[in-house]
Amino acid sequence: MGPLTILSEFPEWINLLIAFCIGIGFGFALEQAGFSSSRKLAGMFYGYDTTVLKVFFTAAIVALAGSQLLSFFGLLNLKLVFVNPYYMNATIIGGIIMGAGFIMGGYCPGTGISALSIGKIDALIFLFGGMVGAFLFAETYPYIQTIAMENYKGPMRIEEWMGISPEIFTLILIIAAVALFWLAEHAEKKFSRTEITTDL
Amino acid sequence: MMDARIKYSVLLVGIGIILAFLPFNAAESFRLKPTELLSKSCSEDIYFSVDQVARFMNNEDSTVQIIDVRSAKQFHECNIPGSINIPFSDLLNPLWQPTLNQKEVKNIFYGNSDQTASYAWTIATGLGYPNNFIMKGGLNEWFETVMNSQFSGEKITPAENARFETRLNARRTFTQINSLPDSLKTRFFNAKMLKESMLDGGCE
Amino acid sequence: MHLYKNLKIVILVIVVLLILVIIRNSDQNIFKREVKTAIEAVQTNSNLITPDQLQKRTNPYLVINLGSGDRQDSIQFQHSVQIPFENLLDKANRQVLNEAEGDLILFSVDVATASKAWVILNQLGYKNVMILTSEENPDELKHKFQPDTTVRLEQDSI
Repeated sequence: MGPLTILSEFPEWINLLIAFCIGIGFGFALEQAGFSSSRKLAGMFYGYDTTVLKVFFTAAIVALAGSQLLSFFGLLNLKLVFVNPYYMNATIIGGIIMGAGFIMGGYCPGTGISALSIGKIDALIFLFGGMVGAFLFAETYPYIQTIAMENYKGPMRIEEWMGISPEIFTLILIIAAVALFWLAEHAEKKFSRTEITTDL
Repeated sequence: MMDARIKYSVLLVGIGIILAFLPFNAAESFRLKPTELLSKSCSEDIYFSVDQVARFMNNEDSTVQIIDVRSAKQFHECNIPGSINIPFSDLLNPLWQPTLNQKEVKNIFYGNSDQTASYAWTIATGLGYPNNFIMKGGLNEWFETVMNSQFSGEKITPAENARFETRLNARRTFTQINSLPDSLKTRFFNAKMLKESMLDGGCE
Repeated sequence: MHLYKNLKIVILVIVVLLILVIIRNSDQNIFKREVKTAIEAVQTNSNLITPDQLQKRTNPYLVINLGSGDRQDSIQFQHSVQIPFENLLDKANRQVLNEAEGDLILFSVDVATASKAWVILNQLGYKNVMILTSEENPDELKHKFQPDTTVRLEQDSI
């Protein structure tokens, strides 16, 4: 199964089955954290509900620390782990567009699907809008290709760019995360609104 | 609630500190165990003779890729036609990973002698790349056997006949391709490199 | 305190992790060095040494004969030992390598064997491993290629 060295000789169908189970686990984690409610997601922007920050940052740190520990014990081949190629301009422009859509709609693509699975109509419309956007992107690609491909930095990693070892970066990130969680608690008290998320 | 938060914070920071002080970086070292690497190094099956490589070259055999580990300057002076130049100092460049780390074709390393080719072979095998081989004797042996050897004696067995024919064909190809004026040579190699990079589309 | 009880589990997990890390680190049978150190060490041919240079060296050294036959060439050096290549990592031989003082000089009739052994020992963490060769630069091309200047290739074969 990919970079995991002890599981590398499985036949293809077991790989797909494992991927399926991991996907179910991801959807489950999103749903039980309450991300099917668009109020929780938009709350991140307005400051009254910082669940998104905590859940996703925790997930990132667990994945980061976990993968480095597994690599140390020889169970994971970090060279085989895919790193997204970094196109600077495209990332900034795309990030702004996606952020605007996130606040207006109250979902991002992953949480939109988990909201759809519990039957929300606005999630359906949101996903439909996402698909329209993807279609427009594909159709206009020849015109925006130059912008999209500009400033290509390759599959860059932050610790390479900063010049420190990956593990030190993990430690810095963990400390930053813990600091941010405490900050988030204070923000929630400051920006709080009436508790409407139980009122689904 | 406070307790859970403190618990998780301490756990995560503790793991972070352990990570920061890990004694060695396993991602950057060999994947094989030393005893495994040693037993592979001792096997006789990792060598191809210059005659075998000459035959691969003549047939444009697509199950092998011949890799020249010398510098670009030496590669340019003369090289085995059809070979790729991966200078030894560039061996760890991630751009070469897809070329080297795959199960489809065999990697045959050669240099002027066995020395740099053996370094490259050991490193490639240690990193877990499959199917690595060395052309025994390197270019020095190639020159002595394929280019300069003469047939002597009256009778000749069919096997020897086939071998000499291979050598003569290889001799001709080697001389012709390496004698091309620089402009045509660069075009020939660029055409080869373009084919390689176009195959590298992948999931992007 | 209430706090300590919860922290007990956390501390237990961290201690277990620490023990696993220490156990893994003391395992002799894994490679610990970064591969690029091997590539850098080879760049300037600084890991090669000729017999004359070896005679002049004042640091202590140990010559390791990697052949399995009866090679007489290395006995001109004091401090030499014969370890056939396939047995290089046996427990007893590892002890010899660990206890040797000074540089480890590898010698083999076949330059390929010495080169492979050099990479393996270098990556296992042994500092100052060198290869004994009879020439200054064994990786030189000994033949000059004579281009055929009358060659013309048809355009469409490119």
